[in-house]
Amino acid sequence: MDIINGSQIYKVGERRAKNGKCILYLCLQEATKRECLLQIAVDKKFNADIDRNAYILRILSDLASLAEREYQKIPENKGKTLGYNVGFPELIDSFLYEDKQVNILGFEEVENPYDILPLSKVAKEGFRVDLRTSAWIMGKTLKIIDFAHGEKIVIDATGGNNILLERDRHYVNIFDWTGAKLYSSEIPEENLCSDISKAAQAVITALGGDWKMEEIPNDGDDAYFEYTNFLFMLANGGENNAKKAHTGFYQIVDKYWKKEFYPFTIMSL
Amino acid sequence: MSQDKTTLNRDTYQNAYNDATAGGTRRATYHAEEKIRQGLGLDPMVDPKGPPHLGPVRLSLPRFVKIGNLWRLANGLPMAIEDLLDTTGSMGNNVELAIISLLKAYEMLTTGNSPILKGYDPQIATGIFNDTEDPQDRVAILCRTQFEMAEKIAIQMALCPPGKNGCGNGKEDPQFGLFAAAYLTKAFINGYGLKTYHFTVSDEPLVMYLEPRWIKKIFGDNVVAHVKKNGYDIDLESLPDTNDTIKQLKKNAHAFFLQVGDRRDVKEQWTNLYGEDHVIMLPEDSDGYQTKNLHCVKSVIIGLTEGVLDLKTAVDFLREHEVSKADANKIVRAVAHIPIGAQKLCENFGKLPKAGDFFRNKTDLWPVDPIEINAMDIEDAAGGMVWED
Repeated sequence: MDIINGSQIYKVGERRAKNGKCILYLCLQEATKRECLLQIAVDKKFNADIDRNAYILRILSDLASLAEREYQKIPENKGKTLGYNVGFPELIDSFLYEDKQVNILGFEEVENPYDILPLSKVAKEGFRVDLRTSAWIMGKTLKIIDFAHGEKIVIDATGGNNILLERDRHYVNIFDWTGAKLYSSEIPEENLCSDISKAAQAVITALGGDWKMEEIPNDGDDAYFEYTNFLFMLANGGENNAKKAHTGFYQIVDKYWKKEFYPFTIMSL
Repeated sequence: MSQDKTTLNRDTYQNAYNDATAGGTRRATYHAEEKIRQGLGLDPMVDPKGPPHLGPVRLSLPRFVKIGNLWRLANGLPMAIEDLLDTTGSMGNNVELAIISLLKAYEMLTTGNSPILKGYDPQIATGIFNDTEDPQDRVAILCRTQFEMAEKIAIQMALCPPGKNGCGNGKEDPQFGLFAAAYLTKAFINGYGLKTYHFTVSDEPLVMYLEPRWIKKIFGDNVVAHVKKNGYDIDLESLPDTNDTIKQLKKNAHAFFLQVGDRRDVKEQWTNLYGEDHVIMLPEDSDGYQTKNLHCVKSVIIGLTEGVLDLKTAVDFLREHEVSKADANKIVRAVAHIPIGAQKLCENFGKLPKAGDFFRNKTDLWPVDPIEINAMDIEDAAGGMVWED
């Protein structure tokens, strides 16, 4: 089936996901042959939510670009990038189709959205990641949360269903921003805390663990006790400052593991 | 070390205690005492009138987490435990003792080989009472905290200024606290037919009637409206007396009187009101004090009533929690006459919802049958999408 918006034709493919408000399909942007995701409201009463998702993604994109430009102005940052833009979907298009709001979403630097894996799928399919793999997942998720909180945005949906991974290039993408909230003044601590704790809970689940019981399988890694204690602390709401969480997290990670590429590693539960 | 802020633990307790005592340099209730001495009254959270958005009714409700379209019971069903402490004269130290022993008290309920309230979410409220003839500008006749679950238990306790007076007039006035417990409490657990726990601690007789002017003064002019909204039919012209109030209290709570001292007249009066099997003569500990081990007495009472302990394992339980053998034996002896296993007689005992169960609505008593839960209902946990396989 084709959906047309002005001069753009989107060829709709298989369904990839859904929730109470929208359905997500693979689609092909005919003009560019780019593989995208088409997000459509299940009912027009959810149009505002889908439209809000687009609005927030635009804000995030502008803020990420601004941050990158400022970052590049500093000479010692030459050759490096902040990379906030890969932490959330790219909004390609947004329009009304037969009274329902549609967003066309893509992932910068990821050609095929089919390659993106929700973190929650790891455990669901009977696997768990190892400690070192969880480190880049948690670290990059904290980076996105820190970026959002710095811009007075609370994400809310930071659970395993909303943390998407590009396993080969170690991208982490927080996908659905429909429930995100923009603040103009101080953000309530519990909301800041909730973003961090939900993410940590999701990572602990992907490790084959149980955050309430404070259990994670121990494969004999030297980092195990210090690293997992830190995760449990985050999962139980022990930190509401994402920057502190990010810094503290990497102090532990850098203590035990070299800064080098480590492949996405899973094992049976 | 994890920092669970949803329940009381060493970290959250220590933070609250250090705040209240300025690092251990003063009484926990110092600030509250100063405030009332300066005519600034009570903190709204412990004023019996309640803060404007809550009013005088104290709520003990389940804690839920929204998962998709459903509500997941986060911590087990709430079990409300309320103390009503005499703080007149020699009893003036009761709040301080309660705060100091709070962590141990909570740990007895929730940890160890036989956690007394395993599977429940203990929610603790503290009331203190004084005398209507105490100086009204400096002494609160009644304070009553909210039912709380973590460091707020200690924080609100510290907001209750002990009276330390008492007038020597042969009575105190706990009847207002009993009225609040009976008519201004809404406990979710009662919906299952189970009872909460209520402990009154005193060394004096009480007044056998409730005066309308004091009821209004303590709980606010709209108290009757709040009581009626809470499901009870009373009016100021014909208030229940203390006897009827306690009868009402005992319908919803395992209510006990814990006597300090050994005055016969006090024991007789309270026994007439509560029944012999609900009056406990607090034993002296090895240092000669009756209230330092109050938390142990209460924990054993709850454990016996819940059927988690019997008269033998109660001693072991106390020993596990570092009570001396001599004190443990005295405590068990002092409570041996209570109705053991009374909570287990409730039809729904043992069939209660547990932490992790999903509910359609927060006001539902029973969870959704797991086979009825649509993947769509819960899969978008913590937000996001439900992804196809």
